Amino acid sequence: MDGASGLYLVLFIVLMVILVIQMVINYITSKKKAQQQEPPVKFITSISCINNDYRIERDYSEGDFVGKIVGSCPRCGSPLVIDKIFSITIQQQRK
Amino acid sequence: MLEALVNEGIAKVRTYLSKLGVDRPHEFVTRFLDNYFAINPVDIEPTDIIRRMAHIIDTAEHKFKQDVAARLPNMSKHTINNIAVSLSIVSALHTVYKILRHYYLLGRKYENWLLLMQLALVLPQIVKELSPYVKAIDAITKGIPIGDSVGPLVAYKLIGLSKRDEIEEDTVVSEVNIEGRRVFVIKAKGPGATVGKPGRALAKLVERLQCRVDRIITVDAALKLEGEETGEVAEGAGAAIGDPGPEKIEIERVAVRCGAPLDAVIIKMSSEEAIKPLSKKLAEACEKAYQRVLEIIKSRTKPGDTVIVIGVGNSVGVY
Repeated sequence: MDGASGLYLVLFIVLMVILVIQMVINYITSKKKAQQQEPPVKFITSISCINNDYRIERDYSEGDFVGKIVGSCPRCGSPLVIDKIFSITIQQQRK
Repeated sequence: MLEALVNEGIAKVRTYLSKLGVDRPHEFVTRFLDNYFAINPVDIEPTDIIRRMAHIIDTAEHKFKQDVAARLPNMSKHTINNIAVSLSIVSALHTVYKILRHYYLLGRKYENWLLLMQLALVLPQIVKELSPYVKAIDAITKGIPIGDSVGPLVAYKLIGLSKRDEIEEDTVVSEVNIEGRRVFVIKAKGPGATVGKPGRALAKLVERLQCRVDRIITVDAALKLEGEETGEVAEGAGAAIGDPGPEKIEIERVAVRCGAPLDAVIIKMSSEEAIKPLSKKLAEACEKAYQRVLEIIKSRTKPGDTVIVIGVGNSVGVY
């Protein structure tokens, strides 16, 4: 009986040690993940003619907003309007 | 780690305010960190709880915006909205920081190692979840659309540069004709950062139309479950809007009163993506959602019908 309870005690201690080690590993990895820097992004402004016959993309510049008229279409002379502003990662751009 | 994150957010707002020429920006931000809270209405007596809640939300919002406007008298409404939203983000970050600090100090005071261990384990996840909020400040101060702007973006696609009438505070309505249908589109007034009052705007519009409405379509960002694809467009029934209650219930009440079917078109994204600058994937999803809305209008209504589309969400960077 004493031998069996001693064995259980040893097993319990071993399990507890494994659990604590696992918790510490999880804590360290999750901390590292939280500190990981996200890839840098850049903002793109997409401009199109209201008649949809011309489209260009350029880097975002301050003051841009979707619906802003930024000039006239070189093909038909209609207004050129910003229709999208979005972010892309620098890696995405290289592809 | 969390303190650094909050300080980074505060520094960003401070820099933005300095750029706008605000006097003593640090004092300005500090004043707004602790002073604007809203207390939930009594819920053990639910009678008129929505009206009470709407009243409290309005009071808090007006007080906040009025105080910002009073200290920055020469700013445009859009800039004031951008400042107000940036300040509320920093205020939310600061509140989380204070709650965690409270439990940390409580754990130390009573030498409660269990509480401290729980905090230590959960902290990395909290920091990861809060980091996008700091990035959202960048987007809002620059006026770049965020993930939550997908609703107003779909609305913009429907109305283009059509005339906007301010029907309710910070909320506009435009009328367009789509293959013989009279389509009214409601969205928050852009390009400043605001979500407007889409529910109350709908109620006013329906009153003007004497309840002659054949269909109401709501478009909004929705939180995806882990494993679901970002930018997936789905369609269902009900009011797609994530407010605390007053706006959503108004939409539902109007739909019931007028007997108008209520459609919901959602664009799925994570909570991080909802507040980060709009990604290319989500920008493309707006096109899909726009096509879906057109499909609903063309297939479920007939020429001569009146349809109302509500683009729910933050109109930052969207006219």
